[in-house]
Amino acid sequence: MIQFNLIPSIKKEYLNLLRIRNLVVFISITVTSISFIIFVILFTYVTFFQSNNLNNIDKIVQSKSVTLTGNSNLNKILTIQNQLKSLPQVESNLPEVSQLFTYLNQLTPVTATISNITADFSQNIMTIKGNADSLATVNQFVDTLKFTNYSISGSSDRPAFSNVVLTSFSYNSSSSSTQQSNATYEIDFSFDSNIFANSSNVTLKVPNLITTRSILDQPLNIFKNNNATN
Amino acid sequence: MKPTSIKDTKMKIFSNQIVLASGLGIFFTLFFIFSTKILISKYNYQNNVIGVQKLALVNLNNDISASKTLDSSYSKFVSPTNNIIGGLTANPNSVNGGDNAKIILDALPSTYDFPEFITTLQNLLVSQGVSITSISGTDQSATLTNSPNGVISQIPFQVTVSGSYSQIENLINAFQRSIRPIDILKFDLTSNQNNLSLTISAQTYYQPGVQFTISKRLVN
Repeated sequence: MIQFNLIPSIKKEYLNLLRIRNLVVFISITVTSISFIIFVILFTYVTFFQSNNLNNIDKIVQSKSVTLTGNSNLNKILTIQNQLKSLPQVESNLPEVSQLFTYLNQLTPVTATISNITADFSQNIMTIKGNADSLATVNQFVDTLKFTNYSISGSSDRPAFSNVVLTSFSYNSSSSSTQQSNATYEIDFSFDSNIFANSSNVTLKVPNLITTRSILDQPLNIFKNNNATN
Repeated sequence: MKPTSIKDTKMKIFSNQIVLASGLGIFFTLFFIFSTKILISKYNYQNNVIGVQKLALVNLNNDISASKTLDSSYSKFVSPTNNIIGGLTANPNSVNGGDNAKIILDALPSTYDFPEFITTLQNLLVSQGVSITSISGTDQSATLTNSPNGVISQIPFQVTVSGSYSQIENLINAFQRSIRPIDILKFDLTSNQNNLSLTISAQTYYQPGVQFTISKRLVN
């Protein structure tokens, strides 16, 4: 079959342009509409729904904050709770200084007296100054300190004292016959902080080198000043 | 010159309409794309804020629940007839009296009160029968203004007393029995003619009270 193109070229061009225009307008309206719809949905959600949600949560948070801060006892309770947390730690670190008197009775020879004792519980060092009837007693006192051990609740023995040094001594033989204090001494040493720990049951194991006041049960005359020896 | 036909005129209008439609389409599409982008940023930010606020809300609910538990525990803590050191709760003015909260605050005060401590210390020394040679220390209240909440701090002091062997021994025992911790740092005991002279450098403690605060955070 033979077809004849009866449409003039100008009309063809016209129709073509009309179609393009319609297509462009359609695409333009469609794309703009889609982006507009997305914009409107998002705008509505963000501006109204989400903001409303935000305000509601904010109001609840504010209300709960007021409830919490309105508890007038809270600061006092928290303070006491905090003090209760700290107290056991503080108490456990305090040295049990009263043990010093027990230890001195166990360690000091009967024939020796103490004129001065200094202890530094932060550096764990101690100095004992005093008098004794003889240098042998002083030597025995030093040896006693060197060989004294301690144990905690039946654990293995450990040295109670270290770096025991007879820093100074003197001897005056003039009054040796009267059994008065002829020798003076100064002993420096370090001690294991565990022997003054208040949380543990410490047992001092004193070597049987000398007779001490703990054996005689005479603690009261352990201290004597240097001038009162004669 | 060839006269312009109606079709030519219409075609010109169509061309203009195509340009206009595509121009407006592109303009509005771009406008909405940029607006949407801004809205997405706002959405993300608000979503982030909501997330943080929800978390804050959970924390607040937990805190409120914890505060109720604390209130209940505190009521039980302060209600017994006898306090933890055996004194009467109902008699706060007696030596060991007062509720447990008072006892705890006596042991570890929440405020720095040096004069009060020195007075208490003096009473303790006198009660043991020793002669007080000196009590010294420095009132640090002026420098403690920036002390952080809830952090334990020391109050150092020195004491020199004289007394018999048993009085000195009792004093040391009294220090150890004191509900207020007394940490003896240095101990110097010297024998005099008839008695003993004791000098100790020690420290006691106080811990500033805790202030409950709700902190605010900026969400980026």
